[in-house]
Amino acid sequence: MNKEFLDRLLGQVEKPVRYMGNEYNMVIKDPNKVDIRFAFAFPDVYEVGMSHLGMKILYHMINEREDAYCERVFSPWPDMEQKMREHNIPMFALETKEPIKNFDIIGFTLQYELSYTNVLNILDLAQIPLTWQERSNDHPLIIAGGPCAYNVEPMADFFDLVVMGEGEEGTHELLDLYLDCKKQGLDRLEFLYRAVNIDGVYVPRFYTVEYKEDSTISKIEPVNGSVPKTIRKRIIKDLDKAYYPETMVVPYMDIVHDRVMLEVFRGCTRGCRYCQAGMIYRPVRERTPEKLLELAEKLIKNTGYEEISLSSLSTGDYSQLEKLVRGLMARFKDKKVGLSLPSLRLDSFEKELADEVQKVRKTGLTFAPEAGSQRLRDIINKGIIEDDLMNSVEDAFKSGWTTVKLYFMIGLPEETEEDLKGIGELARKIKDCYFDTVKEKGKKALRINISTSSFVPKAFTPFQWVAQNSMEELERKQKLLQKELRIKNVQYSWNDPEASFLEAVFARGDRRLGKVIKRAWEKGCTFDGWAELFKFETWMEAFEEEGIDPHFYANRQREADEVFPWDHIDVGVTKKYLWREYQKALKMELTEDCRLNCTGCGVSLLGEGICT
Amino acid sequence: MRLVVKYTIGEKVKYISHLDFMRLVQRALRRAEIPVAYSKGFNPHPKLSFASALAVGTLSDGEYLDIILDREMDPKTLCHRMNEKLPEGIRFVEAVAIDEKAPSLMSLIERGEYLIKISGVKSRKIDAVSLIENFLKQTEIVTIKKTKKGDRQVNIRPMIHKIDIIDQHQDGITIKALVSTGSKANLRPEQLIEALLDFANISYYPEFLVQIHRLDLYLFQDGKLVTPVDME
Repeated sequence: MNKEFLDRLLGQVEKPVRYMGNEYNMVIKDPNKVDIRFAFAFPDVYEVGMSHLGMKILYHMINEREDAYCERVFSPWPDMEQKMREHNIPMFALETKEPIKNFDIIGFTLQYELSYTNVLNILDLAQIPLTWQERSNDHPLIIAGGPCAYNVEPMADFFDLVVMGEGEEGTHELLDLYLDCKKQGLDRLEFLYRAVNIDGVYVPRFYTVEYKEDSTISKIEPVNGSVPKTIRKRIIKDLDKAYYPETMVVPYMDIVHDRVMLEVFRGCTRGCRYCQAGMIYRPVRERTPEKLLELAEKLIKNTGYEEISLSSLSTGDYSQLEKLVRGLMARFKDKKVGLSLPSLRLDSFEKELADEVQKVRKTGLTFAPEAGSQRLRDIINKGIIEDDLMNSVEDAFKSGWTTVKLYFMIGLPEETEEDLKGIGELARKIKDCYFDTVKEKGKKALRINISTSSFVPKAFTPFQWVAQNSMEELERKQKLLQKELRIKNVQYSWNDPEASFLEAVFARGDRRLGKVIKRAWEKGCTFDGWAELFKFETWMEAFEEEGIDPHFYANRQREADEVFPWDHIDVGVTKKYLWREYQKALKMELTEDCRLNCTGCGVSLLGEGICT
Repeated sequence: MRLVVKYTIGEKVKYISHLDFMRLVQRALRRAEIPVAYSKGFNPHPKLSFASALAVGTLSDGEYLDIILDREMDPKTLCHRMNEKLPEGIRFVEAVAIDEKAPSLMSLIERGEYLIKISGVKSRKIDAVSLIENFLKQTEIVTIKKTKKGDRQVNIRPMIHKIDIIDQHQDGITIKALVSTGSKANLRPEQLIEALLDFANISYYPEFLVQIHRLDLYLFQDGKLVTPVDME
């Protein structure tokens, strides 16, 4: 590509730094001296994709290999896309600005369902046929990974190969095999047949799906005996020994998570029944504070970032949190490096810890009770008691916090109007608590931000059998809350039920949805996760034109024995356990944190984690 | 210790906005382990200020920043260490220690010198020499300045101090212009080009390519123009 021309073009688009590359710590290699050119594609805009930890890990990891060059690709914003199409500029990678159609492998990370049309758009901009059926040996191998890969069925037509689970080991095995096959001159199909022998590798075309008359699945089977019946996800056994980058690309523009990310552990033992991450990332494996401090030191030195965040699910559960936080404080306080602790569960929030963090920089305080009543919190197994919440809030107010954020879900199974009103009651109690606790008024006024998201039943959760609330129902609930939360100092925000509906369709969708995704994309849908670009009407037309009823996927209650599109994928947690958890939910029975007692989810068969 | 640093902005970083640039320098300072002084308070920030914001897309050979350090440091060492930790395209050229009590750089700057290359003018042959001569003969050059309160007429003539023709090429010209820059009076080179093209009766069309290169910034000392690193 004419780089000068591209440079001129960048002067005509919004935020040109999105497409510029050349950031500090960007990896520069001579493309002629590597055997594998790999494009890591994040199907969203730069500032979102660059915030993703998985990409940072795999980017630097692949680039440590001398035989491979990993470059980055993000979705161009519509203004840039228009320029690219106008001037026939093929999708390029940020590092070399060379067209990715000439690369060996393009790896997409599937972080959320509403990015699917962006995958198609990237392939199309790259001038690569969308489906594997249309592609030949000369096209790049199109692969995917990430949380949505566990039920990748709606995207089955578009990928040659999908990787289940954590990629630090499997990626190397896959690249080694690819190189081996390339040297031997083997074709795509021969490569794929060999690839299925790597644990965690799923080749959708090697499985056939049959349907019953009622449109549910009768069976999913491998096409022949050389393909495994089930695909088990990969996990890394020892995180201290696993690859973790000691440097990170430092973007020029303000990205969503613009700081050093320290991944303290993987997995979660809480067992919240709505939470897919809590199930699919099991078992819990921690990094040691020693290792984390060493990484933090190197990362700050190499990036110059002014902030460190601890990253994991339910970070407050980290068994050595205090030691880690104190260690970080001791090292970085004088260097003016701040520490932020995201997604703290309120029952593990310690006042003292909050004060520690405050010493350097004051970050917002966030709680996620998820449901407004104890009854409903028991149903979803969110083991939080109101007293704990109120104590934490009171402590926070005492230490000078004036802004509190609370996250809730609406449309949870068995939800009633009383549960919703409970959200309002909680807001009033927190407000009263503030005025009881804080006698002398500071400069800042109290702010309670309450936001609700609409519950989306996900594969591999105890609620995978449940019907999502209809969009009308969700809207009615939002209206009720708007009325309920008309309180001074309280701000209520909610999200679009139409987007949650579409998310629900694909979260439990099957292969038949591929043509709908393609149709919607053809009709101009991209960036569906962006409210300002989301075209719901167009999506509904696409379903109509393809003769597919989206409500079948989103709003249908499943039978106990229904065969799910993802039943051939083994994430460790068994279907039997998930059903048992669902039944317990209906009886409002709690399940203990499995750090305390094994709850028999099945993941211990993977042979690692704190449960073994 | 207070230092004034001269730095350059090259092709690879010209699209970085001013705000992003400030963050970039702060991070490079941390990587280079420069002992920057921090402000007090809840949100401590490094004591660092920039002489003048550079428009996105503009190259520069003469940008300046003002930095306060917690302890003494050889200015050469600072430049050397920063250049190892800055992205390609940004270079710290020179640094000098200045009086801690001197006014801010931003308030001292009075002139900016630009190299402006206009190309893509296909319409007709223009006599550049007389064009510039006649343009400067005007006692008033009124342009419209868009502000939050609505459009305002501004006479930019007093802010244009010198224009030299550097080169005449087939489809345009290259000029060097000295204009008012800074907090007292400020003329953006884009405004100057707009007025000049308007005067020449050339309508602005997309094939136009205007490359702006800031050459240097100046302040007045004893009636003479000097750059911030040359001031006494």
